[in-house]
Amino acid sequence: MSEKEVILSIRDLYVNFYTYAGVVRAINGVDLDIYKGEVFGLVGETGCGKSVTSRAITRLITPPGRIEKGEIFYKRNSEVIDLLKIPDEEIRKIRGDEISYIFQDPTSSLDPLYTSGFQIAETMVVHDKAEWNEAWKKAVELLKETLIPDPESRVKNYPHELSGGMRQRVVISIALSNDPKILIADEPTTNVDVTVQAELMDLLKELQRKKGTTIILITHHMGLIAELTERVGVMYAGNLVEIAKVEELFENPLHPYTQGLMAAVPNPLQKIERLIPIKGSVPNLIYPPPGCRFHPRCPKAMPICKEKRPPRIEVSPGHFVECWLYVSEEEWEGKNNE
Amino acid sequence: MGILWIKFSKKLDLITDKFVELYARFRELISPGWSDKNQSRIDELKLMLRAFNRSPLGVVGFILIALFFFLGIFGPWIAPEPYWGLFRYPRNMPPGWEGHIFGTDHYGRDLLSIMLWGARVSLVIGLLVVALGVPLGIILGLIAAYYGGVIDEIIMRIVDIFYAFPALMLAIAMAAVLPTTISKFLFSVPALEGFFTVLFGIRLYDSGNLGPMLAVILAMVIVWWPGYTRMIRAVALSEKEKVYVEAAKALGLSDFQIMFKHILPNLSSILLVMITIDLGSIIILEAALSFLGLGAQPPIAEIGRIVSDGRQYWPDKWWLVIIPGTFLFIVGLGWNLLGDVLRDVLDPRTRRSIEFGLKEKPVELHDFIGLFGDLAILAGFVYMVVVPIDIPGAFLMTGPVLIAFLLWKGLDSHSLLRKVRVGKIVGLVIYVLSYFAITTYLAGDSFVAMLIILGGIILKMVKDELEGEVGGFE
Repeated sequence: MSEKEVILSIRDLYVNFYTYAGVVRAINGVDLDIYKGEVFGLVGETGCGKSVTSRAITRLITPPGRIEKGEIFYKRNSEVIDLLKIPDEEIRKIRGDEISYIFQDPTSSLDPLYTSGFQIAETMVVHDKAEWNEAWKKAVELLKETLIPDPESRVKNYPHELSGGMRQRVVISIALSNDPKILIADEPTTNVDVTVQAELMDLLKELQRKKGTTIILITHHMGLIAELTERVGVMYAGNLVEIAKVEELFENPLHPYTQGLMAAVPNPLQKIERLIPIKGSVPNLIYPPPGCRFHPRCPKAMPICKEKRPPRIEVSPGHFVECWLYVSEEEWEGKNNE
Repeated sequence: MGILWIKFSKKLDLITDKFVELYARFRELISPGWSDKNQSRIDELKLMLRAFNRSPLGVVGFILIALFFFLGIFGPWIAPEPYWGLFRYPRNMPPGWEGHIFGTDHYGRDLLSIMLWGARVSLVIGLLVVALGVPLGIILGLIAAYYGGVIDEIIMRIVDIFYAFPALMLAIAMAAVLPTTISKFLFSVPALEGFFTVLFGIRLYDSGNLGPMLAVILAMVIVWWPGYTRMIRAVALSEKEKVYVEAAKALGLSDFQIMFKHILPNLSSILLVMITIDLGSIIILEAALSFLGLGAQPPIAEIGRIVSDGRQYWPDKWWLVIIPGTFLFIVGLGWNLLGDVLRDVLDPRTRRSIEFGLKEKPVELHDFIGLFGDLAILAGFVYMVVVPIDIPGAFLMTGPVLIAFLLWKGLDSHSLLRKVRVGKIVGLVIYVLSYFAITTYLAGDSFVAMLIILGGIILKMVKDELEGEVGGFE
C-alpha cells in the first residue's frame, strides 16, 4: 500500500461552526491520506463530520462554518498544492473539474428550471472544456455511459420528468463530465430505491475501474463499504478514530467504537445472534468530552482517556487507530510527559 | 359563475392554444428543431394559459391591462384633439356636452382626449420606474442574500434608512429637489431630450416639463427599490440553502453565475407577480404626486393633475374627479387582479388545484339564475356610483350594502353556520335592518340601485337553494 502514490492528504484539519448556541467543534484534527485510484470509504454516525470533512476539501464550508487550521495537499500533475491556501479563483477551477461531488439527494441537487442536458453541458462549458454544441453531444454520451435508456430524449427532460434513479444518474453524469481525478460521493444512494442502489453502485464501480478515478465514498451503510471500498476510515465526533483496509476492519476492528459499530450492524462475515447497540448518544460538540471524545460511551475506558487525547498508532502496516489501549507502556510514558 | 364560465373559458383555451402554437412556429423559424426539443415546455405553457382562463377575475384583469396598454401606446394618435388646445371650449362642461363624451376639463379641453394623452404618460412612467428600480433592487437583494455577513448588513441598513422615511414624503422631497439638475442635463443632450418627448408623447415645445417628469420617475425609483431588495433577499436566503446551489458551487460555477443563472430564475414567478401588482401602485403613486402638484405641469395631460384640478369643483362637477379617478381605479384593479391570478397560475402547486372542469356538468337553470344574480349585483354597484347625482347619498349607502354583502358571503362560508344555513338568513336580516336605518337618506336613483343589488342577492340565494349546495367555496 505504501508504494502507492498519495493524491490527497489532509493534515491536522480543524473546522468549527460558530452558532448562536456556541462554537461547534465539528472537525477536530483529522489526518488522512488518499491514494490514487483507490476507493476510500468514510463511515460514522450522523453528525460525526464525514460530510464536513469532504466539503472542507474544496473549501465548500460556508459561514457560520470556518476551516480553523490545517493543510490539504493535493497532487496536481507533478506539483503538490495546498487547497486551503490557493486563491478562490483557483479552487473554483478545481471544483467540478478535478474534484467533483455527488450529493445525497438527487431531487434537490438539480436545478428544477434547466434540462438535464443543460446542467451536464454547463459543467463542461464553465470549465472551458467544450463549446455548447459539443458539450451537448457529450452529455448524451455521458448519459449513455450511465446506462440511461434513450439518452437522446432524456437530455431534453427537466428534473421533475425523471425518476429518482435517473436523476441520480444525471447527477453522476454531471460529476463525471470533466473526468475528475477525485470523485466525492456523499451518501449517493441514501435517497434512492434499494434496487436502484445496487445498480448505481455497480455503475460507480465500473466507471472507477474504467477511468481509474479516485473515489471517496461517504456512507453509513456498512454493506456498501464492504462491497465497494478498499480502505475505510471510521469517524466519531469529529475525529478519525480508525483507518484500515476493509477486510482488516471487518475482521479485526481495534477501536472500541469500531467494535461497537460492527456489533451494532449485521456483519456479512460473522454470524451474530443479536445486534448490540452502542450505549449512550453522540456527544454535544459544543462541549465535547475532554480527552478521547468516545470515553463516556467506551466500555474499556481508562483514567487517561478522560485527560489526554490518544495519539495515532500504526498497529500493523496501513492500520491506524487513535486509542490509548494500543499504546505500549514506554510510549505511554513518553506521551504522558509531552 | 361556475359551469357557465368553464364552458366559456374552453373557447378561450382554443385561442390561447393557437397563440402558443404560433409562438412555437415562430421559434421554429428562427432555429429549426426548437419545438421538437421543447415539446414539454410548449405543453406546460398551454396548460398554464388554460389555468389562467379558468379564472374570470384573471381574464377581466388581463383585458383591462391590455386595454390600458393599447390606450397608452396608441392614445396620442387616436385622441381626437391635441392636449395643447387650451380654452377651445367652455370649461368644465358635463359629459355628453356637444358630443364630447366626457365633457371638457378645467382648461376647456376635450376630457376624453386629455385622458388618452395622459394614459401614455402613466404607462411610460410606470414601466420606466419598474425598468429602473427593479433591476437595482434585485441585484442588491441577491448580493445581500448570497454573500451575507458584512455586505448583507451594509445593504440592508441602507434599505432600512430608506424605509425609515415615509415613501410618499421621500418621493415628494426628491421630486421637488431633482428637476433642475435633470433639466440641465437633458438640455445638454438634445438626442435624449428628443427621445423622451417622443416616449411621453409630448411636443418638443413642452420639453421643459421633462425635468419634473423624470424627477418624479427617479423619486419613485428611489422609493421603490428597497422593497425589491428586501423581498429578493428574503426569498433568495431560503433558495440559496437548497442543495442545487451547493451543487452548482461544487461544480465550480462562479458566484455571479450561481446568483443570476440559478438563484434568480427560480425566483422569477414571485418577481413577476410582485412587479405586476406594483405597476398598479406605481401608477397610483405617480397620480398622487402629480395631484400634489409635482411632476408635469399643464398643459401636459396627467391623470393625477386632472383629478387635482377638478377637486375644487367637487361635488357639483363630479365628472371631473370621477372619470379620471375611475380610470386610475380600473388600472390599479386590473394590475392587482392580474397579479393575483398570475401568482396562482405560475406556482405549480396551486396551479394543480385549479379546477379544469374535467367533470362536465350539464348547464342547468340555476346556473343562469346565479349569473343573473352576479350581474345584477355588479350592475347595482355601478349604477349606484356612476348614475346618481346625489353622491353623498351613494357614499352613505355603499358602506351598509358592502357590509351586508360581506356578512352574507362570510357567514355563508363559516364552518359553524354553513350546515344550518342560518348564514344567509342572518345576512339578509342585517341587510334589511341597515337598509331601513338609512332609508332617510335615500333618494330616487340610489333606491333603484339598492333594489337591484337586493334582487341580485336574492337571485344568488335561489341559485344556491336550487343547486343544493351549502357552502359557497365547496
